[in-house]
Amino acid sequence: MKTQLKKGALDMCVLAALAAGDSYAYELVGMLSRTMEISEGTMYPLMRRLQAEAWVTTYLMESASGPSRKYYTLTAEGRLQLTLMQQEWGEFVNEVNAVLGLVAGVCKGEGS
Amino acid sequence: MSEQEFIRQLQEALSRIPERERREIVDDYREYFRDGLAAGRSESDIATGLGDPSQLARELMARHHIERWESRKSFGNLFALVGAIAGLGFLNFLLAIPFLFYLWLLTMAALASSGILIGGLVVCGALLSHALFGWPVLHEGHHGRVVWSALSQSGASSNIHILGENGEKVEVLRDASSGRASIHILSRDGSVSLERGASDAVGRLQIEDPQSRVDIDGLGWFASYRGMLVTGIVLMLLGGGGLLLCYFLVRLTWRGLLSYGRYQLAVLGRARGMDG
Repeated sequence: MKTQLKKGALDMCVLAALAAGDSYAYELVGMLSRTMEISEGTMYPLMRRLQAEAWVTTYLMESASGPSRKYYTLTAEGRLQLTLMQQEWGEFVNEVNAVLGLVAGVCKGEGS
Repeated sequence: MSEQEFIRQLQEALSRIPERERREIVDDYREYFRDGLAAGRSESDIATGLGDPSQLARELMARHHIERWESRKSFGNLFALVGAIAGLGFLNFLLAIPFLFYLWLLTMAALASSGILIGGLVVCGALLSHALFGWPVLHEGHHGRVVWSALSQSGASSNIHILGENGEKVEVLRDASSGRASIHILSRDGSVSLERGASDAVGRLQIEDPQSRVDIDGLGWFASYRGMLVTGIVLMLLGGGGLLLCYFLVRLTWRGLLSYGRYQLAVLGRARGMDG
């Protein structure tokens, strides 16, 4: 259950991280893994998928240390997608919380 | 696993995708190793985090072939896609064999239908062209009729009976009232009959021996214009229907295959451990 949920939400999290500013793969993994458990191996397949959807594009930029780095940036379509996903996510969380609250209320009512 | 080993395995497993794309993927992973090392991690730690390179490559290959198939639907791309999905796991590999056989059957059916349709078109086209321009010249039941009419002109005396010593018999008969004419060859082992029906165009061939009998009705049917037209239309309908059926099956198969490939990739993504 948690895995399934996370898979869908991971796209949104990466888009959200990119909305805060362009970033590269290692930094993205670091940013996300600060608060959620993610496998490093998922990052590149995920970024390729987001690229295929045309939600992100890439550009190369010289780094201070050594060769240039690939930066990911949100496209206009990606930004729109992020808004839609956040909206859906909010609705979903509200619905689930409402059900949980209702069930908890019923249980308490039966108990007393 | 060292960085070098990781990259080598990745490159080897990606040998069948275009050079440019492969270099891009390899560069991505090199960059990741650089960043990890700069953060003070060991090569083997980073490699472990990234997972099995050959499994990773299989997944990237499958994705690559799905994209290629979506952008251009050719037989080469289709078989590459089936191969890539087969590479994702042993069960997929087993499933790919009957699936490839099914694809082959579908191809044959499509070719056969095309052939039948073309046959129908040629027959109808020839008829139409004959009607409009008088070309090609069609001989309606020419050969058959010459024989039969020569026979029917010679009157009742044209009945011929030849009897053999052991009961063999050859008969040429004509019934003036019904217009029927026939040739019978009979022996104790069996018989051959060739009959002309009431209408000139339709004949009948019967071959019989003690075990079995073959009856062919409607000989010369094709040699009449109407017969040709009906034959042509039937062929066109059969071929067209077959092609249409094949087309729908192919569409269905494409969609099914793509969803199956995507599903397998999703399963792999989960198996690889989103939870780290």
